[in-house]
Amino acid sequence: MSSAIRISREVSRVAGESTLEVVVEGGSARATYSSTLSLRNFEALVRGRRCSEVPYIASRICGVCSHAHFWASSLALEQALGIEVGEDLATIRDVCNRLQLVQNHVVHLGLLVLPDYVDRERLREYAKLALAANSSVLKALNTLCGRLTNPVGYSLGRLLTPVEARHLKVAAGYLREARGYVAELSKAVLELELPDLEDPAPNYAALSQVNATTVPAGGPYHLATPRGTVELDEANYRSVLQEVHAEYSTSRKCLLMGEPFFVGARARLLATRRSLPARVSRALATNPFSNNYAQAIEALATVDRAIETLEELSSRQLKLGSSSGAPGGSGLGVVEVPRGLLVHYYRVTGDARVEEADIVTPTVMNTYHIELSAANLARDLASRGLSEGEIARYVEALVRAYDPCIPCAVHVVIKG
Amino acid sequence: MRVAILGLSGCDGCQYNLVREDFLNFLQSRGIEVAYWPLVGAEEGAEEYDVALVEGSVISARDLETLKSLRARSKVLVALGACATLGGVQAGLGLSKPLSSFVKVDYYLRGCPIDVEEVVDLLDRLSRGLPAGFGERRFDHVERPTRVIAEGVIELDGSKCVTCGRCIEVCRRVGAHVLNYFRRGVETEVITPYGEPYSRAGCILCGLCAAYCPAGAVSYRLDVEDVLQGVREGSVVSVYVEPEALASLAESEGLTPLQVVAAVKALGFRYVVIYDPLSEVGQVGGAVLARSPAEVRLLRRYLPGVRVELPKPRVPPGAVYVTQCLSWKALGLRAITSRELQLALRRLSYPTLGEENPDAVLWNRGSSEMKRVGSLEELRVALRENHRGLVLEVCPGGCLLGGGQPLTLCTDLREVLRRRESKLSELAKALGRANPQVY
Repeated sequence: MSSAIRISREVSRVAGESTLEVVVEGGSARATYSSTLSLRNFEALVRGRRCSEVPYIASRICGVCSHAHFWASSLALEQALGIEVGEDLATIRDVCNRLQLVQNHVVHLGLLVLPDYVDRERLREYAKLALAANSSVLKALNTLCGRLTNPVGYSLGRLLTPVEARHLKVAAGYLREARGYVAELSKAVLELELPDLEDPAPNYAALSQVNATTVPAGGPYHLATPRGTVELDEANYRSVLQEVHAEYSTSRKCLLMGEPFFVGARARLLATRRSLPARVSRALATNPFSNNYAQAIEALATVDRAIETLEELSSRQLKLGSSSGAPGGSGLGVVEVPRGLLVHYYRVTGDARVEEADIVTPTVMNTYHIELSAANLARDLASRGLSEGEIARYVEALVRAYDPCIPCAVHVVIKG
Repeated sequence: MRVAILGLSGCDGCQYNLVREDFLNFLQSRGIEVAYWPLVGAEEGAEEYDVALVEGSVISARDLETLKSLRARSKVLVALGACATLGGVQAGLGLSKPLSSFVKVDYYLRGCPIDVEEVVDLLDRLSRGLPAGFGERRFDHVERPTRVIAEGVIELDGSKCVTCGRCIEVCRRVGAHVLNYFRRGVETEVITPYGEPYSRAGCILCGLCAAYCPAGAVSYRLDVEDVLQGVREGSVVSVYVEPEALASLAESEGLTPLQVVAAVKALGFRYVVIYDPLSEVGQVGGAVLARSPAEVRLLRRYLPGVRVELPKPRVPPGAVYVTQCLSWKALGLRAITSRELQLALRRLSYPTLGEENPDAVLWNRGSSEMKRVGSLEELRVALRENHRGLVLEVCPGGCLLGGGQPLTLCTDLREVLRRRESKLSELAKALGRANPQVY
């Protein structure tokens, strides 16, 4: 039996057509992810620009997680410019980054994941929950930094709009409002029966607990992997996170020291070794679909932690100052974002302009792993005699579990 | 009404902002059907649409094909956000083009990202069969002519200008009339008369245009990096700081004035001199004293026939003058504003700061023989008397609003002035105690 299932989806952030083609032949399966890009080429776009402009440009890489790009570029540039950021400022930025993570997770789970698993009636209820959670989190985010897409409240090393105790209190209030909705949504997700799938390469990477916050005040960055901790710096990040150009695609793929790996909520939970119910932790360790569980857990835990942090901050005098040295040199910014690790690297001239930029996105890191998992899944399902349409539906759900990008996971065309 | 929402080459941020409870509730309440919206999984599509909202710019052939096909099937096509209306951030590399380069666009919703309220407003009107009040149906996309006026202290970068007119308004209000609109319609731009440099256009360098510009199109030259470089190299060793500048820095940073002195020394300056140019003034009977070059121009304009004197700071080579007023920068003096000094100071970590005394004080506060006059009548009388100096306050105060004075978190300007005045007294008191030789 031979069946070729072509799953093609819009990848708007890189503007082009990306397809995941799964071919099952006999007992083996192969999956190839390829894309025809129309380049927006941010790495070239920021060359020669003043450092202070770059985070604003970088945040426009992706309107869904623009905070992520803002922070990763800020961290890298602050390192390159020798700016040391005040402790509380770093914490507030961290909270903003986390809130974007929650916002992404609830929208993704409520509007894109649950439709795969629940009936229409319940779906309407969950979508309402997700949107309600979303709007409360947005209010909190707006209080702290102005807006969700392309933040305007910060610049390198400082806040542009004043954040005072009262803002923090108001934001915490919105989050308490959101917490109820997020908790209910998480519960619904954790009750789902996810499809079975053996993880073909249970190899992951996430910032370890040494970098307890998602936006640490600069490196060094410690990556937790199943084989221990790897320190990531400007000199070695390219050999740890190796990017390869696949021949059949203009997009890039990434390996962790030569091996396929995954990043994201599941990797983060595995790295922190949180104690969880046996069913969930077993799934996390072995099943790629369980990333959806991880997102649900992470969303709720993050809201709780953000409330705690904001309350702690609002009860004392804030230290928002920062200090700086001489510009020049290079910097690396690594941030945990909704879909995994985001790495920005910049080399900067003495007059604080960008000389070279390099960006590694989580979707690039996950690509190989998606291919392997999709091939495994399609082979299993084919051997159980499922039809092409059904296989495609499962593969689609798998891609959605990775959450490569919201628009990446929704458009499916099957060609026989 | 049947709607399609679609992204071409862009970041999807505009569409993502629409995934919101209130927007979806609005659609439901108006009975608007979103038949096609791949971002949230609505990908069935329909043959024809009443309204198509298109985000992103055109980069690839596929973008173009999608756009043309959608245009042919939609009654109204709306460009959603900066990429669709202008080409977006990627247009910087010449990669992308706006929708209107290829198809007719009926409405433009601007912003990066868009304002959701505007989308709601437009769809609301269209769904009720009303013409929408905004948008530019008449115009195809035109490249707006822009120019850069860069000579001198203040710079105007027309490519960033959004022609909001705030700079024109404030410039008119202070009586300088340097900026105005040029050309009409979509070609409107803001320039100085004939696009001349500010210095030749009667600018008084109050800095208000730069402070009021919401788009960063008008800015003033920052010299602080040069000065710090000089400090590192040893060519700048001392700083002459106006007492007002010191006091306002103390207020905005929440320090005592003498802590600011310590902070300035921590930047690498060896000597800190508190210096008021008015202390240089001898007998100037029959003249009005201006406190800044900005004021000179205004006084000459307002009081023709009256002699106006400007005490020039005598700052030795190797020193930098820290002032509240931007206009000193135009005099060939090595000067930075206290706002610039604040930028440098913000890089220091404050908690470890002690207090230090200045190395010298040239300031005549308290024993001043200057007379402040409040009206022209008073001035006329005072001119006949013999005073050491006359001061008529005509300055528009561009410094406080963002020209030269440091930024403060307090939003009530009167309160800011009050606090700065009290810091000034605090400074006078501290100096009186520490250094009886104040004169």
